[in-house]
Amino acid sequence: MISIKGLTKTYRIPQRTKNLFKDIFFRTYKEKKAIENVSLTIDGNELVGFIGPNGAGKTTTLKILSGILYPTSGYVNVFGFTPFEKKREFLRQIAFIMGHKNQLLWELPATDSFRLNKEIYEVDDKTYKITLDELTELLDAENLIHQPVKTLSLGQRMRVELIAALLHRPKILFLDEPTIGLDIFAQTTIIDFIKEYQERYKSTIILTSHYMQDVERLAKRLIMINHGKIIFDGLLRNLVNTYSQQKLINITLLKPLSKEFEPPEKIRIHYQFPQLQITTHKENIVGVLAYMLKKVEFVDVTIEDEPLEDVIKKMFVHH
Amino acid sequence: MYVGIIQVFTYRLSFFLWRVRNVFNLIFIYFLWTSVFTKQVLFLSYTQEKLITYILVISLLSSLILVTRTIDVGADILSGDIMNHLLKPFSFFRFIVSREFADKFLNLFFTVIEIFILIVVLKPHIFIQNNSGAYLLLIITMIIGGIISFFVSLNLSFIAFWSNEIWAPRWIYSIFTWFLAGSFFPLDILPKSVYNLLLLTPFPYMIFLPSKVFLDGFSAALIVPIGISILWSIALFFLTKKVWETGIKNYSAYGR
Amino acid sequence: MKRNLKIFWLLSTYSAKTALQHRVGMISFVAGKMIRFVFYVLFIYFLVSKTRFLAGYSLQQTIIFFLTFNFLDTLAQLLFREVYRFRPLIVSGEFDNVLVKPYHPFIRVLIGGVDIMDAITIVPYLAFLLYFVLKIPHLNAINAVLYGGFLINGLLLATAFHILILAVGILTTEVDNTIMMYRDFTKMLSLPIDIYKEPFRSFLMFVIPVGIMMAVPVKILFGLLTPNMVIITIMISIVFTLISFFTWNRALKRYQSWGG
Repeated sequence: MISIKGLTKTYRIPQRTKNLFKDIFFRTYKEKKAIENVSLTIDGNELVGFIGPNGAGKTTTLKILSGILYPTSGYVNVFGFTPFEKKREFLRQIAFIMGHKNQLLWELPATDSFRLNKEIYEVDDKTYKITLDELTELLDAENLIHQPVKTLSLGQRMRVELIAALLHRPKILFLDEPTIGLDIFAQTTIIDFIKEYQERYKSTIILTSHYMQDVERLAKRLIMINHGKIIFDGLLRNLVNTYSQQKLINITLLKPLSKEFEPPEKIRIHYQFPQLQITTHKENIVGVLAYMLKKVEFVDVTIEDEPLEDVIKKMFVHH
Repeated sequence: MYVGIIQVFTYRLSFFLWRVRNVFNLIFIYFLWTSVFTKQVLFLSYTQEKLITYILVISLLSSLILVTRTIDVGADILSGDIMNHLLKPFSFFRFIVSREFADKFLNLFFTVIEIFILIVVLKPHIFIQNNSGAYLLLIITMIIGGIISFFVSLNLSFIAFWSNEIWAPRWIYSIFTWFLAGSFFPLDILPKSVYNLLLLTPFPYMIFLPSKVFLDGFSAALIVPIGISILWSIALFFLTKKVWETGIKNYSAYGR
Repeated sequence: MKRNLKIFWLLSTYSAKTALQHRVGMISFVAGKMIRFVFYVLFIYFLVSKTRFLAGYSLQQTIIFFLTFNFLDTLAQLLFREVYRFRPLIVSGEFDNVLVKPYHPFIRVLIGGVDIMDAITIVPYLAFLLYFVLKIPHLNAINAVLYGGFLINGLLLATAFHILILAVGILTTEVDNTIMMYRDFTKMLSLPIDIYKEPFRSFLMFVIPVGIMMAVPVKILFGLLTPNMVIITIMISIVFTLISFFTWNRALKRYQSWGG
């Protein structure tokens, strides 16, 4: 469905010298490779999380896939189309939603924007009504869609934006930081909705986000990108299994640690009574656990994987 | 003042294009009047030399007197940024005046260059005033004109204290200025009755009166206009003060 | 095509709806334009009555030059008002949303914001124009038809200009100054182009073809153009239009989508 081979995008950034005259008439440019030689394939009915630090190239990739940006070199194919050509048949099947950005008519109620999208995407009356009702219900937006968009809060606006973007039941959704700037409740609403939507309509969703919770909750497949190159492309659970060597042991103590307590070797400890957290290498778990259970009185013990966020952070530092 | 200049250069392209637009504007008016004089030597009381000189002088004075940064004050009021200045009202006035000078100085610099280039390219005959007394009077009328223009524009910005619609009155004001301040044509070519009516408004005193002084030097006919201009500047000063004080009271009461 | 018209119609009604929410602004706008129109006409009357001819044209003819400029200028603003709002769209990154929709971006960024206030003022402007044109003594029917044809050509050129402005906006995010420059150039044609000496006159005809937009229709109306000139005019219009489309396509390829 989506196929990218050897995709590169280079930006020309004008250089500011101190010389005013040069700046106006003889501008020099520096080339910055936003993405370099990226290849990947995505099939239908997939939910892919695309993560990377700012400037890593994830938004650039999404914008090339949706036809907004023109690739410098490489091969891009979505549904058999070349995105940049922006053929109508292609654009009718995709949706691009950017967090914090507005596609709705600002001064008018959302319903006017919906009507407009209906015409633009050539949705017939019956399908339109059904989809609109379903989406409005899923997002609990019945009382939001009739007031001017400018009167809505950020979270409310995002919900209404989602309705507008999905009225034509796109086969691919590009979501660029959809929850940015939202409070935790709004974030959860959006994320739950996306999950529900994907299960119901079986579309392909490519999501970029800074928030680990979003990615963890939604994506089975994870693509990590840094400095324009892909550093990981696989299942989320494989990431931890393959790349994380650490385990966390959480012990809830009955009594505070005595002053003579000697911790085992080769561990990191974080202690704030009653919680004792030990980070240690996978291989040492049995030993460390045995040691600790002999030495302390505890109420509860859990063993966890290293948090996904930490694993990912480490990977980005490495690459 | 330095900060003001840097601010302007930050918007290089914008600034450059604005200057280009000024040049084309001048070209338009220049050619209009030049073509008038192809068939006649005198247009009412003006020779070609005097009228072309008038246009160049008015352009120079325009950039010095009419162009103003007081427009920003309106935006500051609407956005609430003006609160930063309100703690020290006296230095706010000093701030906008010095910003004004920086802006005018910069504009004058570029306008002189542009006019110089135009003179070199178009080679018009221009008239240079000899009488040194006229120059003295010129400076006085320029200062008065500057004061009047400054206060009128400031009051337009102060509308922001009461309404969001500051753009419309300012736009209409610029239309009036374009025709009635003499940027387009010397005001005394108008029929006497119209001209006298106009003299009651502040418009002729901003750039037209100084230009007239440059062209004709001091004459008895100018006594009354100069007198009215002084009255206007005093009246506007008090008006501005009152509007500011009322506006600030109103503004703070809303607790922005 | 029908679909595009439907979308255009919706966008236009929404634009009107939005404008009607700012009544005060609307009234001031219309009032300001009227005042300016009256001032201008009074000035022309006054000027030409004292000189009898302006660049060889009588008062009636000068008025027609002005009214033609005024009509085309207003028509262009009426249709292309959305171009004046292009900069915020680019700078915020919301232009991306436009690109991703299955319709030509022009429907949205070029003609998507029809100005209802200009639609109001253009009616009297057109009335005045027709009145003065019909008053021409010995009006030649062919010339009149050609006049209408070249008015349409002028509108097409205006379209090309605005597309060029959009393209420059994509490449540099500079829209407001380029559009005001375009307006300054067209304003120079509010009076007969013959007031300009060479090389300015040629500049306004062949380099920045505002002369072809505004002055050529009127000259044809007065029977002042040779067939050669007419052909050259048409060719320049075609070339200029091609340049604007080419630049637009080039700009899209270079688009870096900075916003946000």
